[in-house]
Amino acid sequence: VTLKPDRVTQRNGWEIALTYVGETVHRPMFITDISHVPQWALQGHNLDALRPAGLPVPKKPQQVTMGHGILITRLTPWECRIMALGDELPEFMDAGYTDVTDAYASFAIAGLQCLEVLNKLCPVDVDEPEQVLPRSALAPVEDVTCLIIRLPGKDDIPALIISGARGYGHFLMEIFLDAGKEYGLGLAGFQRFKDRLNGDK
Amino acid sequence: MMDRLPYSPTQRIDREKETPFFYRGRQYKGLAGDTVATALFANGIRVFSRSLKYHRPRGLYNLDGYSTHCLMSVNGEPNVRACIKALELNMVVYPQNVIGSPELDFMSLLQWFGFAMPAGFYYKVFHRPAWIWPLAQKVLRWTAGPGKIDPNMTDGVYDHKYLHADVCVIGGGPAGMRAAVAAAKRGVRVILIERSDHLGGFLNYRRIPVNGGIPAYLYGEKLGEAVLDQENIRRLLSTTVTSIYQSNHVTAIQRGRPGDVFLQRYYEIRAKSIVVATGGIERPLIFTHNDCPGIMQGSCAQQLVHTYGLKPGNDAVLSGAHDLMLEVAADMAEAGVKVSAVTDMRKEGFDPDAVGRLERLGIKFLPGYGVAKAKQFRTLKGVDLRSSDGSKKVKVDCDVLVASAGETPLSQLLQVAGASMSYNAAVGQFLPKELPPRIWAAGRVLAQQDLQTIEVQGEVAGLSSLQDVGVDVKSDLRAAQDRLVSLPGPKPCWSGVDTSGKGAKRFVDFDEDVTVKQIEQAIEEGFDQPELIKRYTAAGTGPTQSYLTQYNLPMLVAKKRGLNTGAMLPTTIRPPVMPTGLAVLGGRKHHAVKLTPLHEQQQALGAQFRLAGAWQRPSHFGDETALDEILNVRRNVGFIDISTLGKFRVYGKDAIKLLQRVYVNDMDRVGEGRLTYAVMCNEEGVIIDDGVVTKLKEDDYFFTTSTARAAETCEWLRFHSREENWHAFPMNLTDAFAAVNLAGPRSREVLGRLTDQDVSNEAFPYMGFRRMVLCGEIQAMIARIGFVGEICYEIHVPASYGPALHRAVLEAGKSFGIKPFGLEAQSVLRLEKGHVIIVVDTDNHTTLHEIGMKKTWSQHKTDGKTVGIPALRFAEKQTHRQKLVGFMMENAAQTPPDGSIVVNDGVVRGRVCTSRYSPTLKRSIGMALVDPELVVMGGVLEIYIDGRLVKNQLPEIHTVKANVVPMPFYDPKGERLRA
Repeated sequence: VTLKPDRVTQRNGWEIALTYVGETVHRPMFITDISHVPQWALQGHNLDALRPAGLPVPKKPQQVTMGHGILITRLTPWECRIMALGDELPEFMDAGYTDVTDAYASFAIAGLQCLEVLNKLCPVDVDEPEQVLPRSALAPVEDVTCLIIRLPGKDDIPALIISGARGYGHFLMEIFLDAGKEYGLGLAGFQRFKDRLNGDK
Repeated sequence: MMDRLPYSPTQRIDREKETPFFYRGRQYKGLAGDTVATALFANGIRVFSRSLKYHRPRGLYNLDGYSTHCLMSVNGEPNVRACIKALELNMVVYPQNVIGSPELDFMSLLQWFGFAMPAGFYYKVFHRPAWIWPLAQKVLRWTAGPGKIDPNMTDGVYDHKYLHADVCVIGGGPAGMRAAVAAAKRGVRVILIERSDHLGGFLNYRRIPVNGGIPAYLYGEKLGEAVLDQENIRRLLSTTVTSIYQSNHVTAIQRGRPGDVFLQRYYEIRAKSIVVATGGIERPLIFTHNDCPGIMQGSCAQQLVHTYGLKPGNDAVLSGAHDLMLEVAADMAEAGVKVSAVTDMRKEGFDPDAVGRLERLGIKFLPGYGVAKAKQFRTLKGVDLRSSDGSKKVKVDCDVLVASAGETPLSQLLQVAGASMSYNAAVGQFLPKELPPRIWAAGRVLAQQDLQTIEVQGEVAGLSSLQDVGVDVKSDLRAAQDRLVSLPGPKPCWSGVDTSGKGAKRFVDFDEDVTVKQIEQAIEEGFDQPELIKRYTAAGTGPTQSYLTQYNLPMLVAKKRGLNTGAMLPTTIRPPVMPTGLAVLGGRKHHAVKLTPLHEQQQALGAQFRLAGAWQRPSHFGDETALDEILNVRRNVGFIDISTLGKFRVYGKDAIKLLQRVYVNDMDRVGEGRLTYAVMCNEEGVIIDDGVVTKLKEDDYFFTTSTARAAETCEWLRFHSREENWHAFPMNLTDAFAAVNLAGPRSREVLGRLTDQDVSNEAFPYMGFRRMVLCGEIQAMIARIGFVGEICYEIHVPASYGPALHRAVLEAGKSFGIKPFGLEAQSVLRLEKGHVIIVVDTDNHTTLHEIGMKKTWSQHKTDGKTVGIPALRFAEKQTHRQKLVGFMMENAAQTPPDGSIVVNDGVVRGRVCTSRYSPTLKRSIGMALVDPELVVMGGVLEIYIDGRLVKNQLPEIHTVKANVVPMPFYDPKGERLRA
């Protein structure tokens, strides 16, 4: 997938395309590369007692805590993943934290039909009516194990974060764009995702 | 194109949209909304195909996809059911299994030799002499069988989708729609699957008044609107459910309609509860020549008239044993078809309204009569009717015969879900004795015929499924059940099978050309159960998966054996209940492959990639022997992308315990700033992984593993850590780092240009580990090792800095003649040095002892502390275990392929692990695992290699010779890598 970046910014040493040349703003659904978003793995036996970036660690796997642009996803009883989606960068000095930003390729997908796109690639249900959002699942996306986080909807328009091993980054982007073709999925810069996070669809 | 009937609201065709298509190379025109079969029918085509065995002509029989009469090649795809395949612009359609045309098929001569093909003939003939079978097999395959795959077929899109629902309703008829709406009204997620292109089921194409006088099709639309009103019902139309597996796992295949982005889409649906409302199917009436073109089922004739605006024929006779035939006869007459006679095997129990309608239309009605024989010349010319006692006979000329023996429940899905069947004598049908948990059924699949009953039963099923998903609807359910009790239940149906004709060609199974006579023959030969007869005669094994024989076969067997009706049960149904193409199961052509952070840079340098585990890695950059790459490493400096190596951090106060557990080495000796080569074994002492380990700080370690096992190794560590509840936490950082191995006598100079830090041999010795800043900003971890036998630096940087590192290394090494090298060069370089690659040179039996790595095993560790040590102690005493030896080929230029067999006196004594031509040594060398007796320095190894390959013949085998030599082949004292 090659689109020429239009507006570019620097963040934590990363060069980020805010918009792309020819990016269609009015596409019903977009996918954004957010691989630059800082991520940490936090492991330990007492995660419930910890408050990374001032937020509680969710009690059970699949649960997600969200606040101040930080997402904390409980993966297992011993491990959670922290993502810093906002502009503020928390500092984690304890040995329990491992910076895993470079280990994962991550994407954000938002749009009315984004769950339909996911349904074409992943057998796990992220649309249970009773679930409390945000919610996560560790699930195979076309054989690649990914962390899938469903963000709270804005006006019932769902949004997802997909994060898989960086080596599969190209593959994941290609299959999502392929699967989303019939729903009008298009590539968008980071600005579109930021707007979505801030509530401006 | 024949004239269509005047407009009717039941029609699904768009008269404004002519749709040209090609049949046998000639252009025809259909209408949008037509299926391929109806478009052909509209153009006067009456013979669609030839049968499998006798090449008998077959025409339009059914419009629901349950017959093989209409299997055709469409756009190069064979075995397409033309009766349900939507017509599209410029479709290319061909008949199958014909030599000539369907009307004039050369192979139709076979039908005159039916006497030579009795049941099971292929079990009896062509076996002696033995040489005749391969020949006969080819002839049989050539003369019979379905269509051929067109290698030039347009590549279609085959899609997958995974869905989840609280309630999955299978069947979009009145029962299914009512069930779906009843469930959806409580807010749960409902999926409604309908095989045809529209909701409504059997109401779609019927005009008789139902429920208060509303025409059936309008009532069906009303029910459909109620479905549309529920936003939480996902409708899957044109979708055939192929099975229900354990835990309510439903699989289904959707046909792409014009405008869809896919040709077929495969669904996997997980539902908490399932309602099966699949309805029923007309079962064939058995009489002489009951397969003739011009004979069709009642619903087929009705759909032709009402859905597609086509007359099924000009002169019609209808024969059946149920009220639908009376309705169809009247509909056809009202459409302008001359209906000469309607016969019914029953003598009483008719719907008086239907009989009255026939009388008003002046149609001759013959109760107690049936068809004895169809007269044909390519297509139907007339029928012989006979009273059920055989005393009266009537001959009628006609060009269409609408015939069926009654309706059978489509219970296949219930059966694959685990429902056992029994014969219900009161109804005259095979019905489920009980349903599996969380599966409900409603409507005609339970032999219901009354519309109101069907609907209420659907509602009961929908509410029952809600109970399964935890929604309390007890009072509503009780009320619906009470209503159901007051409504009429299933009416008894005619349980006869055939009309007692005597001709040889009375077909029980159209797919495999199985006749009544062959069933009788099978019974005479001792095959007395339907399951045995099915296998002996092939009845029910064809593409329709026994849909049309499911009822008739057991009933016929019972009758012929003189048993009570229903004494024999239908044969077992197995998934998929409808034939499924492999392409749609395969789905899109996605192949998950990992790319390293340096992929694009290496591509630009001309890398030829190959798969290594999950990764694409450069094999070589020029000549595939990689000789230049090898020599450049030996003489100057090269670098290889090793980002794929497993890379891990493990930390916590028990991290050392975990490392001691999984590595055979003494991990207490691992220190900061230096590397330990360490090996992991499994419980059997078999080597599973190796790499280097270093200590980052207290209770914090970094280690590498082989490319192939990175993911497994992480789980292996987690397993042991959690088993012991240790405070030791492994983190897989394989993808987090890009890495290159800078190797060669000039590598130190290149590294020196990348950093200000001291990289001298004293400051950074062999097996040292350093953190450095490269290019002023890149934080790197650098391990000095010697895998390829030269001064080597493994440089690990954050993956996102990979391209920058690549650029920097190339630039820094420019003046030293730096070149990239790939896996092929690395394989030769490490072979020259005598280094093994786990999995490449070892197998599932190789312990440390075989490959001479016993020294890595710390003998003072207690057995219980380390995985594999008890087994290693045991294996140590086994004198028969193979050993790894180095060899040089006697013929310096001859290189045996990896895996070649080592023999001695004709006995297999080992195998070649790796062998390559060494440009450094200028001869072929290798490593082999051989029996201990062959481990004699200077001894000769005989190696089998394949010779020239000749088509259809086993390859010639040559023996080549090699001499056992000490390893390493290159720099045995290790001076170069320590330099």
